[in-house]
Amino acid sequence: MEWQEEHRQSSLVIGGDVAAARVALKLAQEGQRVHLVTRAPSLGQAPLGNLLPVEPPLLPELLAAASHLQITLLTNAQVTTVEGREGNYSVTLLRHPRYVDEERCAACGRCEPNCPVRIGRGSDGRAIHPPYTKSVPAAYVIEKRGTAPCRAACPIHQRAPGYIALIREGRYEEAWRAIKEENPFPSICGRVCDHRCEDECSRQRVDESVSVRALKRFVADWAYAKGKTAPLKAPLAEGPPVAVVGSGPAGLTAARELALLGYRVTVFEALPVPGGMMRVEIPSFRLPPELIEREIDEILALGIELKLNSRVEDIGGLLEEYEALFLALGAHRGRKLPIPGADLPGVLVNTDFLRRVNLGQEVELGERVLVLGGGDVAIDVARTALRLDAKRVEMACLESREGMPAYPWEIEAAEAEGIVIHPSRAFKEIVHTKGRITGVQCLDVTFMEFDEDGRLTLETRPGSEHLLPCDTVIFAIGQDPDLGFLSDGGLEVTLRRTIAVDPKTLATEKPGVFAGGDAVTGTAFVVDAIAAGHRAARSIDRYLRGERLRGEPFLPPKVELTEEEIAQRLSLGLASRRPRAQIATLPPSKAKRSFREVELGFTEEQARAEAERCLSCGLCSECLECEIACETGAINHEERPLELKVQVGSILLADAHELEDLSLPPETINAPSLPTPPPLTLRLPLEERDWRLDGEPRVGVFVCPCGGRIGEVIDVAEVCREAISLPGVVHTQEIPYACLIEGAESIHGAITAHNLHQAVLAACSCCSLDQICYSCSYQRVRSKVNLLRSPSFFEFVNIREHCALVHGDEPELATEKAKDLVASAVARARLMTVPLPKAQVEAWRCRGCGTCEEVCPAEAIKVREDGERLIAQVDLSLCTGCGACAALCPSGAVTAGHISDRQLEVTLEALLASPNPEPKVIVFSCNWKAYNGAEMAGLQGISYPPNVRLIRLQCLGRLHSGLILKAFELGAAGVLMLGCPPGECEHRSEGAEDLFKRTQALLGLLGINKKRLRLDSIPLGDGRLFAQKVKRFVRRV
Amino acid sequence: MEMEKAIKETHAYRCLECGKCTAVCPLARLNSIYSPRLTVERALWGGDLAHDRLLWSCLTCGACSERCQSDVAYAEFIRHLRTQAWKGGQSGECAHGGALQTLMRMMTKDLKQKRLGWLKRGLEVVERSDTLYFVGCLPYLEVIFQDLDLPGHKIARSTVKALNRLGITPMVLENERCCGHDLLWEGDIDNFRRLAELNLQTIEESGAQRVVTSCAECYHTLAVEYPRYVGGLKAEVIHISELLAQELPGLKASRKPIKRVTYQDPCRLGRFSGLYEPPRQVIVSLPGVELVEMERNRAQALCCGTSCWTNCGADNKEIQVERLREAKATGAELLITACPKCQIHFRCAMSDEKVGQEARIEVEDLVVLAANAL
Repeated sequence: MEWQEEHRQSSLVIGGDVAAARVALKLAQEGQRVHLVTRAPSLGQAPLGNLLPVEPPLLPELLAAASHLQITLLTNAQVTTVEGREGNYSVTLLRHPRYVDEERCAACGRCEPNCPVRIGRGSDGRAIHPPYTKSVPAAYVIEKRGTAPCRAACPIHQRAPGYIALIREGRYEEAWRAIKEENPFPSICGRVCDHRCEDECSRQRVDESVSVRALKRFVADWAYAKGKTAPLKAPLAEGPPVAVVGSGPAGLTAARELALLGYRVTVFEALPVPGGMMRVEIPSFRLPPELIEREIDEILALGIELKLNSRVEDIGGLLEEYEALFLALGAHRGRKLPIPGADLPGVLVNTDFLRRVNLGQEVELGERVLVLGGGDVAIDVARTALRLDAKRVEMACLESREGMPAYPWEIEAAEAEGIVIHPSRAFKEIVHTKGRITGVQCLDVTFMEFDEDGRLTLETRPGSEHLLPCDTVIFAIGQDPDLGFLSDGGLEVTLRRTIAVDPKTLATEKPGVFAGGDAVTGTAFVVDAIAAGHRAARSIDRYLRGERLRGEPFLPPKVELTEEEIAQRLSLGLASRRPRAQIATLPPSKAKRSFREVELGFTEEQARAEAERCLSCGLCSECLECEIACETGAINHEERPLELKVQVGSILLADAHELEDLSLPPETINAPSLPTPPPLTLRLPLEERDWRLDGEPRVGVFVCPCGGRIGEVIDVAEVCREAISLPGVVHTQEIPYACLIEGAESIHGAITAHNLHQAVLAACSCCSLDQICYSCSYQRVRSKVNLLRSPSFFEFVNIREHCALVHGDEPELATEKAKDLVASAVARARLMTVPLPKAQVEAWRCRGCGTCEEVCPAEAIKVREDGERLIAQVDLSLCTGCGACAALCPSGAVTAGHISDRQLEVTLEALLASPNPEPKVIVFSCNWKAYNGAEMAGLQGISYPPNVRLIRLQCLGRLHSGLILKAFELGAAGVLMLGCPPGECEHRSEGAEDLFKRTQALLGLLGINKKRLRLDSIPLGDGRLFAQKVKRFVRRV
Repeated sequence: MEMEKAIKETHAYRCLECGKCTAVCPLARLNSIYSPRLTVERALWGGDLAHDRLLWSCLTCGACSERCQSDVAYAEFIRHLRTQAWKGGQSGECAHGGALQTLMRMMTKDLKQKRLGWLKRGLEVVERSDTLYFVGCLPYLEVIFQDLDLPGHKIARSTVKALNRLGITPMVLENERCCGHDLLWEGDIDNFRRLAELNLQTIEESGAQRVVTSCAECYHTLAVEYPRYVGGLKAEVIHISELLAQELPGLKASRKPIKRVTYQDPCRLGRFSGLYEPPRQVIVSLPGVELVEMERNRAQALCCGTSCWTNCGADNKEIQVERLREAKATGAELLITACPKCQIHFRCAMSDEKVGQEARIEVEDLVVLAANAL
């Protein structure tokens, strides 16, 4: 039963609050493997859903738990089932997607301002956001409610919410990009799409749907007016050759997708123009041909070969040259009814008629045209005929007025132009006199129905025969693909005379041959053809990579907004209350005699107002702007819920809120809340080692631009240039995202390549210690855990919170400050010390006087006999590193470990060396309260004067007169000592007041204004007060 | 070149390697690695002393030179070596957090000090006088060593009181600088020179004919080192003990009856300036005071254990305790010294509660003792 033993060594702790973290830490410290599971996206958020920042004093424990090597933190996860019994549980967990990789997110925040979706009041709060300031882990989360109904309804799952959100922000170029993700034909779909998205739009529950199609058209028109080219770039076409037959929407979409995947694509087109039915069957007053050409050109520009006038007759031949084939032939053969007179001259067919018109060929029409058919194509035919100077155009169809397959708005448009419709007619005969058509003999229809195979059941009223007079008849009752050549190609044809395929994969019977579009479905819409193109491209890609073919990619479930949610979004102003915008059209009187485009599209104001109506059903609009902004590849919108199984010996429930409808086995322990351990003792999980080095150290300086959070304010190149001139520095390098494993790896690489002894990293980490304190963050801990495995010694300086974030409006001075900080770190690095905030005694200098023993608040240092002498000895387990002993040791025998007196001196020298900006003010702060104040000021962007240089000490009790005087000697205009409020010292040290008075007395003797030295305090986490006090002090000196 | 000059000037080339210097060196007796003889040898053979920590441990007490038959000025030789090492960026380990060195360097700058706060009613000073009392660092030391109860102000006040009793109304200077002794002996020659020049100018401008010091180091620096580095003062430099010995007025018995005292010869006053007797004359002339000499006195006196706030440590403490034991062994109730630094170092050693009664003795400055009787 070995495995049971093993599992006894592991536990599952349920809960995400500090109590849970504490329990997990305790177990981990006892050597257990711990799974820490919380439903919240980060620790410290209990009760669930609390978005407030965690109290700073609790942060170190959360960080310690999250970074402990024995603890696996599972956020967004819930326990679904528990099986087994004590000593051997099998637990199933469901991990909900965060859509952001916890290990790859640098929390740089590039994504957030790029996100167009507001989720709260005001400008803050985007769909992608950190769980809270300094959350653990810090990875951002994306708020997704599910797939928006519009996106779910769309055959190609257009990111309609995405481009609508971007239009709302006035970001049309990005909106265009978002449309183009799935749709190669925005102008076309923006005009002729049947917009099933609008049918599903949740806004209908308030008033009317959002005018999604017109918004798309607006963006496309804007993009073409601005001369924007396609934002997509295909890789070098090195893949296998693929042939696409047919250059309609299905064929060209597949061609584009395959080209983007690197395939060599050739498109064969029978006609002299590409575009298929878009080009030859949609009248130009609905869809101007130049737009089609433009969108096709963009696709072809990806490196696709187009062969016009190339009718494919032989599939077998093509398969010899190409490794896969997509048949997107369309349905171009118009149908006639087999009634008497159907073959008379003057009887036309929809497809031929429209093609001739669109290609500019001559068409002979009489004065009185009757179109037979009630679908959208019939309407197009009728309206086209009207524009060709037919005096009178009428339509007749089998269906009742309500049952007409054409969309109501199409019918309305036709009627507005004066087209008369005769519904519910069955056609008996085309009547003629000597070959000249005089009308169509009809019967009234009382019942009609098409079965699944397209067979018609029809009942007519006896005796209802009547003549609809006309001189030209155009059949528009449907069309079929021209499949004549397939008969010997080994492909199966359906009863409906379409190509038989697996509807999910579009694979035909013949391996490597795929088919889609109207040739498979019969006449459908452009968007259906595009969908087929996508499906075909996916299948062909999988086929050519030898993978099993699959259906549609996963989409999260469709959102059904509740009434409360809708009301809330309106009341929060997340959606406007305005009614649907009306799309301007040419007046029918003008329109009917011209091929000018009838619909005029939105103005910019209209578009933005219309976009504001969107209810953002899914919250995240899936516009992918965050993914584009993210440089670390942390974002994955396709992430899916994940089921995990873990085997554990025990289960501890720390937070009952975590469980919903799940009862744990009775023996499961309710975790006791442990007493607060002192956060000072929390350390990173690192190995001990020897840091000593002989000889002149070689220092490398690495600067992280933090995805622009640093780099957009601070001139990183200049910081590097300046650093290389510093003594001891042999290498400088910009490291994008030092907190990622790649960052650490490239630093480690440089350390080896340049034989560096010490490295300075200017990023967000601030101390060179392995302690986890209030100011720490998930990124810093991660970066240190990655970096400190290197054999080099590291000095970290925070140029993020302390330079870039706080002095963002003064980039030059922020850069100066960063240079100073880097110089000080280099100076410290050259004086190698053990990176521990623990007192150390240099034996020869120790006079054994016992001053240290007297002042140590932790009773960690004691004078003991060592041979013949008395010498101070430090109990490292008790020492909290405050440095009071070091400050008061008369001979300087005690140093405060890291950072030593000498290091403090060179820090001062480096900070005060450059004259820019003059005058400089030194702030000595304690590591805990005051330093945290500075950090918070940075995080909250509360600025303070950029001539301030902060030096952090573990405790103000560490300071002595020599250092303060040194600051003045080196030209500081003032020195501010910022500690903890009385009685709140982490180290229970009390030296600062006395030191302050004594040093003031010395300054007084020197004739230096005593006000240039000040002692003050900051409560924990108060950035505003920090900035205020610093500002006031600077003003005073 | 510098080294050759140092060897020549300090007569180091005459060294016979007899080792008497090392035999009497108080540090060498405690620290077997340290040897004045070998230091000279290594220097003569071109060894690297600049990076030797012990270079900064020499007390520069001059005990070695007293015994040297070849007249090698070892302390000055060390000073030369330190000066060169300093120029190369080396330095000793500062005690007291480097505060004293920093103060000294700050005093090289343009300052308007306010250092006369110790003056009290009853003490007579004037704007211009023939006699200048050069107070030295006493006001600063009072603040820095307040934990040791160093009576810095009291020494200054006692000096003025003594001068007044002698019928002298001295002037004191608000902007007097540190004499620079410690910088000089540490090797920071540039900053020493700056201080010296500033003091020289201030003193010359004051029109003083006579400069009185209450500090052995100020005395020696002003009288001997200034002429060597920045030119001498026109005025005569005199230690308060000399003045008191010359012109001792009628004395009264101290309010606190003191019987037996012993006297610590400060290195700069004794071995460096030859002023062994004037302090003793002052002491013996005090009514009811008996002077008992320690076993090692005058030229053989043991140093107070540290100099120029550098490389202080366990060895120094032992020297101090050793000297305190010697003082206590005389049966004296009071250890008198004529240099505030001696007093600081003895007080520091005794601040250790673990130092036994056999090394505990009250320490008082000569001028304070004398002023009490005036």
